[in-house]
This record gives sequence, C-alpha cells and structure tokens, in this order.
Amino acid sequence: MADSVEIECEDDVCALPGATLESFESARVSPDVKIPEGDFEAWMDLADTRGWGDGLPLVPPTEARVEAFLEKLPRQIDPDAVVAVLPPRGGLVTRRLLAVNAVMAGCRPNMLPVLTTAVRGLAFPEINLRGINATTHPVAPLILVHGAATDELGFNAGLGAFGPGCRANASVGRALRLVLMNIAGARPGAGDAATQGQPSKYSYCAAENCAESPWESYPESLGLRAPSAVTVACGENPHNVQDHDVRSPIHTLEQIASTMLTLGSNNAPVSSAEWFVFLGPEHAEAIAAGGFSRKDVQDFLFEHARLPMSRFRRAFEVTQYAEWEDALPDDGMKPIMRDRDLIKVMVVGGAGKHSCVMPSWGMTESATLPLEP
Amino acid sequence: MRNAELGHDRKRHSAPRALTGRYILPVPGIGTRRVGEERDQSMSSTLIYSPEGHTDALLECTPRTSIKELVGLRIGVLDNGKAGADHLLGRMGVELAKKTDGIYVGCFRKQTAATPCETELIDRLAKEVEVVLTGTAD
Repeated sequence: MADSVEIECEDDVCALPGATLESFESARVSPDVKIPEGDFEAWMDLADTRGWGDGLPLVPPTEARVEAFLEKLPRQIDPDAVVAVLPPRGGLVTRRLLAVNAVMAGCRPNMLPVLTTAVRGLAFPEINLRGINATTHPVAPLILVHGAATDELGFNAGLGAFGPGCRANASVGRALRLVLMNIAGARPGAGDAATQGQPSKYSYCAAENCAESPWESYPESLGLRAPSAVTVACGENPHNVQDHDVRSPIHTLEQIASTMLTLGSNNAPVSSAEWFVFLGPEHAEAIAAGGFSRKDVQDFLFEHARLPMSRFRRAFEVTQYAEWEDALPDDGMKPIMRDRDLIKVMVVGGAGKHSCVMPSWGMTESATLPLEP
Repeated sequence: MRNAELGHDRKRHSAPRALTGRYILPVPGIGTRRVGEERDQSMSSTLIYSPEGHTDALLECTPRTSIKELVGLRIGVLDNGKAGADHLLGRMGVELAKKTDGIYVGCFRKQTAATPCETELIDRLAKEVEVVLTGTAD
C-alpha cells in the first residue's frame, strides 16, 4: 500500500513545530514487513539484516504487542502525532514508533510514558543530540526517574540501581538506545562515531532514591513540582567513589572531589559541563547529618574540585579556555567547573558506602521534565 | 520548566505555521523472506512494525554522485574545529577546485566542534559558495 498522510487539527500536546506537511509528504519511510508466524529466527535475521537491534535478542514488535502499549494512552493522545525530530537521521518520533521500539526492548506497556518523556527531553536543543550521537566520545544518555513513577512502574532506585536485574531500568534504558539507533540513526559508524563506545550505550537508566534522600527530590530542587518526572543527562559511565571510612562529611566529599579531578574527562577542558553526583544513601545520610544541605554539597565540591591552572594548561594545549581561565596564573586554583550549579546532586542506590559521579560529554545540558502520557 | 522544544534548529523548528498533524503509518503488506529461501506461501505470517519510521525530509541530505555536478562551482570548506581539519579539508578543497575547474573560496570555521554550525555562518556559506566540504567527528 502507498504511504498515506492525513493532516487534521490536533491538540497542542502533539504539536510538532517545524514538522510541515511538505516534509511529511516527501519523507522517506522504512516499511513494515511480514515474517512467518512464530519464526523467531526469521525475525532475528530480519532485524540483523535491517540493522534494527543492539546485538541482543529482540522481542518481535507485532501489531498486538504494539497495540497493547497504545491502549494505555489517554484518549486525547494521538499515537501517530509527531512528538520529536531526532538527528542525525531526522527521524520523526511518534508514540506508536516509540511503542515499537519499547516492545523490542522488552518494556511493559505502562513504561511508555517514561520513554516518551525522555525522548521529549532529548529533543531540547540544549541537549545537543546531534553532537551526542556524532561524537567520538563514548557518551550515552542517562534516564533518571523521579517520584511516584519509580514504585508504580517498578524502577529500581536502590541496590544496584545502575546495574542489572530490574526489568524497568533495563528495558526502558535499552528502548531509548534502540530509539537512537533506529529512529535517530545513531548506529556505530553511521551516525554514531564513538571510538570505543561504552557499556551504558546498551542501557542507561536508574531512579532517584527519594525515600532515602535527606533532601527534597532532585526535580523539586529545580523548582519542578510534579508527581513524577524524568531527567535525561548525557555523559560517561558512572565513576565510582568509595569511602568506607566515612570519618566525616568532609572526608567523603573530598573523595568525591578527588574523583571529579580526572583530567581524562571532557569536563576538564570544558568548564561549562555538568557533573552528576549520585550519593549512596549511607554517604548522603552521613553528609546530611553533618549539617550539609544539597547546596552545601555543591559549594564544597566547587571549592575543592580544583587544580592549578598550570596542570590544565599542560594537559590541554589546544583548548580554547574562557577568559576567566586564561586570566588565571599558573598557580591559580581553577575549579573543574565554572559554576557550582553545574553540580547536580541526588541519592541513588542502596546499602553500602559507595557513591559515584558521572562526567558529562561537555557541550550538553541535562533536561528534567514532568512525566507525560 | 521549559516547554519541550523539538528538533535542533530554532529557526526551522519554531512553529512556522499553526500546522499540527496526524501521521498515519503506512498500511503494511510487504512480504519478506530470508535470502536463499523460497517463501512458503502456505505459511501464515505475522506483521512486524518497522522501528525506523519516517524521516523529516528537511533534514535529509542527498550525497553527490558525480564530480561532474560540481564543474565550475565555488567551493568552500567548513572547518568543524577538530585539530588539523582546516589543513586536510583545505587541501581537499584546493584539489577539488582543480579537478572541477571550480573556485576554492576558502575555509570557514564554526565556533566549536561539538555544537551545530552557527546560523550566521550557514547564511554566509550559502551566499559565498555552492559547494561545502566538511567533516564530522575526528
């Protein structure tokens, strides 16, 4: 059958600025196909041939499975409205298409809103997804789930939150990667130029442990009050910070600052880059018991994650430093980030005396959005 | 909170008109079989949705297929900011101009390798050259 396009009035939830009728009419389409019923090998062969997967087994996105996702949508939501355009391929994202990829990744139907919200966030210009996908850096988008959705949808905010074992974390993170590969065109070598890649390019999703956080939730700290929210942030794999001594809040925070002072990260030459600091609940509890607020943690790390400017100059000869950096003498102590608000702090994980930090890709800014259908 | 902004080009993606659309996916009906296999017509089949969908034609680029298309044109280089890009692409621009009887206009540099090219620079390129040589990543 021929491709068909209908244009009709739609509510603002589905409005896509820039998606013109002309662009729809001339858009290239990847057609749906049929495979022999029940032939999983035929499906996997097809996925391999088309380059549709991440190398792991995929759930076949049959009509029934996809419809099961779309049945969960509120009636006013059109599953075929375009919700984002993702570079470099210029892929038009609809909820139906997200459902297809979510099925393939192993998601449950009720997880689609998290994926939809994450994709909305990735389309913010400040995220710079074209750069994220095209760079040689191993960067991957991390999805963080906040609030009621964590328990309602079964996300893991506790022990092993960044690791395996939780279907919600694993499949939603994987679904976003499939979206990037299949819709955005970020396939290794064509659209994704990462020199080595990183394991979190398979799946990168966790939840904030609000229940064990001594502070307000991360979205609330940004002024966002919503029952549930999603953050997307593009960075490296987590870098572990162990402090089993926990002699004092300052000792733990010094360990974190020390881990942030890695000159091999993009944050070192790009002082405008964000840092995500994921405190284990035991570290967070000890730090808060010492009288530290979230802002105090930011202040401390800003003041202590510093090295002499000469060290940066030696490491990065070709970097274009900002004026304030150029003005520093060689023995001047340069913070690894230009502003304390670039340090994002929240609690993730369970028992144990570990925290971690996530360096950024650099020229990207995270986004936090209320959960949408 | 910011409203979701879609796409990465503020100018083009800034609601040029009040168009909102309902996009109907194609009705599937295309059969497939594995390479080297005859299709068993008696076997029932299962519809599989494509996970790729459609692309925004505005963002698509068609590769040049022949150097003949470039004869006599003005050629510019967009330096993506990576080390050595200006030397490599500049040399390529000069050589390409020789082969096409074209004119090598020069090298233009965007602010950083990591961010999209500035609109002003794109406008300048559009005025000054017909062909742009550029690169991505390293």
